[in-house]
Amino acid sequence: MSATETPVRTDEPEEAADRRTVIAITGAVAIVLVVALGIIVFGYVPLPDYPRLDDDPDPAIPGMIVYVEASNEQSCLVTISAGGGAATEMACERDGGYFDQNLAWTADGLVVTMQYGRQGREIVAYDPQTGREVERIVVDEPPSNRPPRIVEPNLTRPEERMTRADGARLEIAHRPEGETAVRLRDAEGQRRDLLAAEGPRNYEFVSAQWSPDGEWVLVADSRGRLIVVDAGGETPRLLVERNGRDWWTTSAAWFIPGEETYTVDLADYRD
Amino acid sequence: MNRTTAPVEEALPDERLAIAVQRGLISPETAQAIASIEVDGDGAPGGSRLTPLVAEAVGFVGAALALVAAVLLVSQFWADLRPWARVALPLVAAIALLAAGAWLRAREVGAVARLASFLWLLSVASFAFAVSLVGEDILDLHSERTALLAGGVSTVYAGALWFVRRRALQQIAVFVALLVTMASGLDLVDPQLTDYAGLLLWAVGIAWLLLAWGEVVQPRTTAFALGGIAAVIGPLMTTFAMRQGGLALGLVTAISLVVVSVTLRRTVLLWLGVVAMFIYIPQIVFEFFGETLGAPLALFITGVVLVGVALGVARLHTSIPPGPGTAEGER
Repeated sequence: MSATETPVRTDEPEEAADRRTVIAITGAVAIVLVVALGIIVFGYVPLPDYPRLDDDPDPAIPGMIVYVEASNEQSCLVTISAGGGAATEMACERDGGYFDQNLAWTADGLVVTMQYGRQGREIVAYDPQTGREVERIVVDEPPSNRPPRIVEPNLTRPEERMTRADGARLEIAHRPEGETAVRLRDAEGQRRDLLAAEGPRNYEFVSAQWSPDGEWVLVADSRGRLIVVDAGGETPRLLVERNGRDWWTTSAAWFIPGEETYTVDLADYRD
Repeated sequence: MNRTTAPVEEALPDERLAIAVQRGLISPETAQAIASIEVDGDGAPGGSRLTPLVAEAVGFVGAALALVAAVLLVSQFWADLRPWARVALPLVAAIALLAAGAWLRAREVGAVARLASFLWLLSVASFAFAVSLVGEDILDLHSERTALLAGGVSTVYAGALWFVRRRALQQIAVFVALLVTMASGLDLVDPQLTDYAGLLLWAVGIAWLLLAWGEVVQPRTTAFALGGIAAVIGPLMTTFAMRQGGLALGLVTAISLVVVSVTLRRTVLLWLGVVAMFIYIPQIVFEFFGETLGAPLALFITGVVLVGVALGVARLHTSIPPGPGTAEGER
């Protein structure tokens, strides 16, 4: 690029040059405004909207849900009543620490996570009422001759919580036309949509798990929202919605006192 | 050197000048004047053209090394600094670079002028970094607001410098800062809208071309190049959100650039249009006909079309008459 360029005007009359300048400025402003406005008007696709449980809690939904809520600065374990209400921050990791995807409950109602400590992988149990650490077990790598007992609801072992005691299984479907769905396949192999939605590009349901009593389904979407829907798929409601830009939800686990389904036993890791 | 008696064709060091004289484009006297500059190097008697270029290159490499060293040095204790100290460092650097560029500005020739221009470009970058730290560390803004703040303020700052010094690098600084501002504005409205940031880039590119055509932005060759590049890349980015629409827009833009290059006599637009055709035509052939024709036939058609484009461009290039674009040293 020449550093000493100078505008070269031909014998164009000054009036014509001025007109050209006006046309250029007007056209430039117009095209940017029109395109920007078009993007905002036509490019915006709203997220699927559901009634919110924090506005209208439903005591009929039993139990407690723990989930990991993460931001760039910290990663926190948060508990919330499955029927809706205020969320409680139970424990947080900062300065690079984070809670793993592994998240479960014990039968007596302790929250269990897998974390990476100085000695390797550690199973850590927390009291959800106080947030106090109850036990820390160094497990390093799990024995290769047995599967990890901690349920990994979203990633490596989703099938455990996606399958109900009667064999009814949850499936995530992504359809070419942009629809995402949670489907229920019963023991006979019949499929039906439990929850289906369309949203912005890349919006999808990322995980689904049964409640321990098999009456409800907890769905996580790609915007970090948690949705509770009954097994009939009739009343999906929003349980957790944080600003998806700064916070996201990475995993969740459901506990109903007295139900041992999907729980883990700390004794399995002590030796 | 006798500038009046020696035959022009013999005295000139550059055959192109001789050809220009033969075709009557310039007078022999003008050719001689140009030739004397060519021989003397920016009119400096007895000077070599190579020496200042080497000195300039060494200067820029040295400056780059010093800059890297400074960044490495600061990074060692960056985490321990208080927020205001983090902001102060790039801010002081921006002011120092501004002052150095202003001091050099008095010597508006050759390498020194380019160095001054480069220093002001660095000043804008450093200033933008300082503003982003203000947003992030002091005002505790979200990332998209920080980007909008840094982009917006830097656009104003870069614009002011460009107003004072109408150089290519100053224009590039304004253009980039403006793009950052607009993209972060989209992100602020809704993150999903950034899927269409390529469309906005295309629009800004077209707008910049219009402003160059209207002689609103200077240097015009830089403006044509920047606008053309943005108009070519924008549709490509859009293909992630709307594949066929982005490809179609890219092809239309490519053809338009070639057509406009002839009308405006701008070779840079011709080459950008050709590059765009090479980007978009193969993708379009495979996108729309890949399944029906099969890969080998689609590839064959792509090859034939590109050969046709190459031949057409060769004809066009020779048919573009000298005009304002050439006067600015474009061809």
